[in-house]
Amino acid sequence: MNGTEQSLVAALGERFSDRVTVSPPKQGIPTLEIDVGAWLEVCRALRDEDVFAFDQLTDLCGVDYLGYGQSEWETSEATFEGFSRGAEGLGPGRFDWASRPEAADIEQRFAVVAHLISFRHNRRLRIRCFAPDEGMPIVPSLVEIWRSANWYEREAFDLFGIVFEGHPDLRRIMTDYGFTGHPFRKDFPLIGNVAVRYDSQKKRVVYEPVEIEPRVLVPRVIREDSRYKSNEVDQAADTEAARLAAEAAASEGGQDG
Amino acid sequence: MAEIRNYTMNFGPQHPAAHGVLRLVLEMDGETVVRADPHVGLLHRATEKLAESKPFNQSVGYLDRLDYMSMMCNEHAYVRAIENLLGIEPPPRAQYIRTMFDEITRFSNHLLWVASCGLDLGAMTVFLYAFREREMVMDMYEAVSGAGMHAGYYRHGGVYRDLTD
Repeated sequence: MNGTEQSLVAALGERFSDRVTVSPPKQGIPTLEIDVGAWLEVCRALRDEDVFAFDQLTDLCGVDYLGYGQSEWETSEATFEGFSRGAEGLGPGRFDWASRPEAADIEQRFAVVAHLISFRHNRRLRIRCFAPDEGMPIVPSLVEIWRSANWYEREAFDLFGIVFEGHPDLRRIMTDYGFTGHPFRKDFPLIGNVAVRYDSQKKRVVYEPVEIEPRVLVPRVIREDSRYKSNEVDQAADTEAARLAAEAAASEGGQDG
Repeated sequence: MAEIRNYTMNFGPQHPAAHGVLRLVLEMDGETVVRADPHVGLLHRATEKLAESKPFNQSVGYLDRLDYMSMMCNEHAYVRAIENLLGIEPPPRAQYIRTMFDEITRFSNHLLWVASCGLDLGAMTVFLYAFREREMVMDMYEAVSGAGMHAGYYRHGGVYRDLTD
């Protein structure tokens, strides 16, 4: 942490002491956690007050903390199965639409994170705000303060279902026309819900329930290594294969003759 | 005088003047576009969602395909993000190699836009010259990674392998 970041952290703590939590910089960017009630007020101050002067919002996204901190990876000694160890079962997104998990009753599931730049002070700041309600997460819109938030908020609404109160044009932006669900939520299956294809009889594109199975996308690494071929089963299989090959060759030869 | 009203026109998603799939709903005042409603999601591939269920190193291949005109630059952004999160400092040689290939990627990218922009204007010759030069960049890609376009060359903490002789 250099001097300018330290002074920013100090200034933030002093100015908004009662409404925010300031976290120390990670990779040079401090994080300001703002209560949903103070979101607009603090943001306006961050833009307008000379000490901060964050004139530009460069990024805004939604975050789904469902399953946060849970690991599907088991760290064990190296095996011949490589990465696939531990990555079984209902991992992130690995289920179909019908068996998608019920949203766990967790507090603070959805958050909105934005990154700000102050050109005057050559500083960056990350701000985060948790949406209070899990069923319908609502956060006030920042479009009035930074115009660039417009499409980012549409994106976060589309992909996470976070509703931005006061947004002038809160429509879906990324997903298909007539799409159901919010695909970046952790309880949305990775294989999706519907698939489209062209139906040559109907002469149009049709929607159908997705057919592919949810599966572990981590390739199972099985290394062939002759040193470990002392196994009796393997040897038996090898002799059997050799016998079959010899028979096939013999019968082919017979046909030729 | 007759009342003149704006009319709404659809552009895309597939259109010969659009490189890629972009749909615009345009409000026209004669020949002038006064308002446009871009539908930008037609190429959205949910790379973030795909990356969620994989080990970090297995997502590099997706990153090539985000902006398929500047493959290694995308990879660089991704591996730098992971390095930042994990606090990894790649060795200087790897940093040099990556910076160098970012610049090489930039040549290839600029040659492509010059070429296709020329083509849109009807200048076929520019296209052929630029693509001939671009072929050299492809060869450099292939020399280090084995693939001419979607290299998958950068790794967290360095690159897949050292430069060839």
